[in-house]
Amino acid sequence: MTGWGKLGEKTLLRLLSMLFAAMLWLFVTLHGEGEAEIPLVIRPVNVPSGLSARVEQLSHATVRISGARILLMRQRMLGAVACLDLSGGAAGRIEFSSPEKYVRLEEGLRARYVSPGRISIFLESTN
Amino acid sequence: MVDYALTSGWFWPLVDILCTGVIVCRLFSMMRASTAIRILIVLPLLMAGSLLARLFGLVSISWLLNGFFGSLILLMVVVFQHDIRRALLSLGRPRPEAREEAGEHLEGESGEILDQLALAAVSLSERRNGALIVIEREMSLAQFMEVGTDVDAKVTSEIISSIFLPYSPIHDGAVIIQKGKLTKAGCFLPLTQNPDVAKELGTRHRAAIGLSEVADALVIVVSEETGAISVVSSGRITSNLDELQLKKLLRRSVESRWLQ
Repeated sequence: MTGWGKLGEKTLLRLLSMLFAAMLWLFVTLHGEGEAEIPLVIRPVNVPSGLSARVEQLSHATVRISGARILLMRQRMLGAVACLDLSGGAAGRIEFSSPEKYVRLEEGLRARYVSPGRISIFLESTN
Repeated sequence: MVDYALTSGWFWPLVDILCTGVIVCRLFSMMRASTAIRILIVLPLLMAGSLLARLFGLVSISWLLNGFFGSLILLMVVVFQHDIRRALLSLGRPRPEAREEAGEHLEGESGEILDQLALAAVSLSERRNGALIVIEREMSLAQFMEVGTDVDAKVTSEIISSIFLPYSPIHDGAVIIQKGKLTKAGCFLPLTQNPDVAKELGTRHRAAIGLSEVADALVIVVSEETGAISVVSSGRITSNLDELQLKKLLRRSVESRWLQ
């Protein structure tokens, strides 16, 4: 191999080593643990017939989640939903404390807390 | 300015990346360049693939790549065992240029052995007799000597020349020099599998390169077709050497302790 060829090979090796190091850093960092706060959609489910559900402070709800950063990015893309089961409920106000246990997340993620900490749902008669 | 650099979020990751890059570059420069470059292109691509697979929820690809990265170190050790062994052996050993600068020149019996080898190579080259002469260095060549013929003779150009005469029954293989003695002849060496080796090189040269890839031995090759003398070490070939260049190269590459 010529001197120029060797020089080019060495330069390429250095460049690729730096690219590899940067990629490795990104790989390890994105697989590391992190936290993120994302908007939370409250979705009442199993609403008893003859009643309708109205959620308070719907636009303000957020959830703080933790887990691998790459999964946090995915969850941010998908959004978070809390499904509140209203089966057996009667007309009036139903309050859910610790709503984080109703948040559906990707496997490997945990919901730490939801803001606001209590979610009130009004069940109103449709008649 | 220094305070800002130390407290900004990018300073330490940058130091981390630079240090890792330097370590990776040092480690991979001990391997064959073409192999190292291939690995350094493929691995970042696989990492990016793994990240994208997790980001977009491609479960099967993500599972496959996670399994791959889980056993990556084991895989690399198995696939590149020869490169790693050679790299580890070269750790701490001075480079040939450094030895030359340090003024280490072989004289006395060791110098005489190398002169005899050079003389034999030139004589074989003039007669267009192909030859393969292996000098054992740090690593044992025992595994390549099982099928050879015992010789156990002093290294002289006459003996080597006579072994490689076309009608000699052991002229086809390689002769091996261990601790300054010609111990074996007619040994078969592993052929290189490197696709980058020039197509015009024949089996003898491929065997020399193959051995130098798996061991730290120095191999002298005389071409039957052209009479050209080459020296192969660590998978690299130095061709078309005359007597003086060959002697100089041998003195630079062989330490006296390997000839005693």
